[in-house]
Amino acid sequence: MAYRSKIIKESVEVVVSAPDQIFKQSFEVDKHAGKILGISLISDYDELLYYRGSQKIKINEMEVFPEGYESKLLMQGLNVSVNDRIIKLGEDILPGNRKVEIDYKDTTHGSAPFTPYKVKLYVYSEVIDNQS
Amino acid sequence: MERAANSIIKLKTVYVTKTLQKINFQFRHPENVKSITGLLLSCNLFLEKRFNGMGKQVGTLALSNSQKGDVFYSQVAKLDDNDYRQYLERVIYPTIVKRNLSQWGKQYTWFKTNIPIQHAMMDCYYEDTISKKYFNDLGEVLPTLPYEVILYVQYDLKQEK
Repeated sequence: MAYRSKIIKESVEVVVSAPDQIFKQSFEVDKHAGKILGISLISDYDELLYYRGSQKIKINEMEVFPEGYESKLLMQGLNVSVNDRIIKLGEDILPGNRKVEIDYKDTTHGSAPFTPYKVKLYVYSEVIDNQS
Repeated sequence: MERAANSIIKLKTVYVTKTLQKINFQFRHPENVKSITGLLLSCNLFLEKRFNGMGKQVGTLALSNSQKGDVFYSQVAKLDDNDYRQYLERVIYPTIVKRNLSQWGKQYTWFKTNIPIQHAMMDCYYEDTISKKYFNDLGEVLPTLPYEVILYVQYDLKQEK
């Protein structure tokens, strides 16, 4: 994350309006994106995301995180350095068809009563370097 | 929690509905993988802080090769207070009465390993060890059933030729 100016930051928002349902969203990454570096997941109600959330994330038809993958495993607190707040995908994934999909599932949990909330998936990709 | 390069993640949810339940199940490996590189166990049974049961054993999970039967991984599922605030930065108040500091935290990281895949399946065995109701020192009772245990398996993909 050293050269932030060369990193494209895009996001898609999932509005969770009802309990115990799956909400799907998708978007296409910028045409200048050469490779996808990582993602991050946040919510306006962190507590609900932590207790109730699980999701499937697909990039270019590749299942990066499978269905049922708990959101708490993708969350980061304020005690994480800002430059480290990105979930690296381990490899640089080529955007391919540029499609990023998230299927977010809300599940009832005793510690967090439902209230409508938003989940935001950020995708970080690197700009194609035309000079090389 | 970082995802390893050239990897795929699969998971299996185990639903525990009875006391001392013993669950045998099989986990089918994907076809295009060569080894297991990471394992993680997550349990959604939680206790409020006043029950003071954090870290107590809930059950045990064992994974073994289908053909050989030898257990290559065993893990204890533990009780958690599932306090999401542990993710947030804490303020250390200036008026610390006792001169000691302690901090609870949790670590969601992969148990890194390298187990070659020789068979299509692996045998899994989960045994519930917590009683139907959890009693704390004050005699308060908390029902523990049902709950879910999720096993995450990370694989190293075969290199495409």
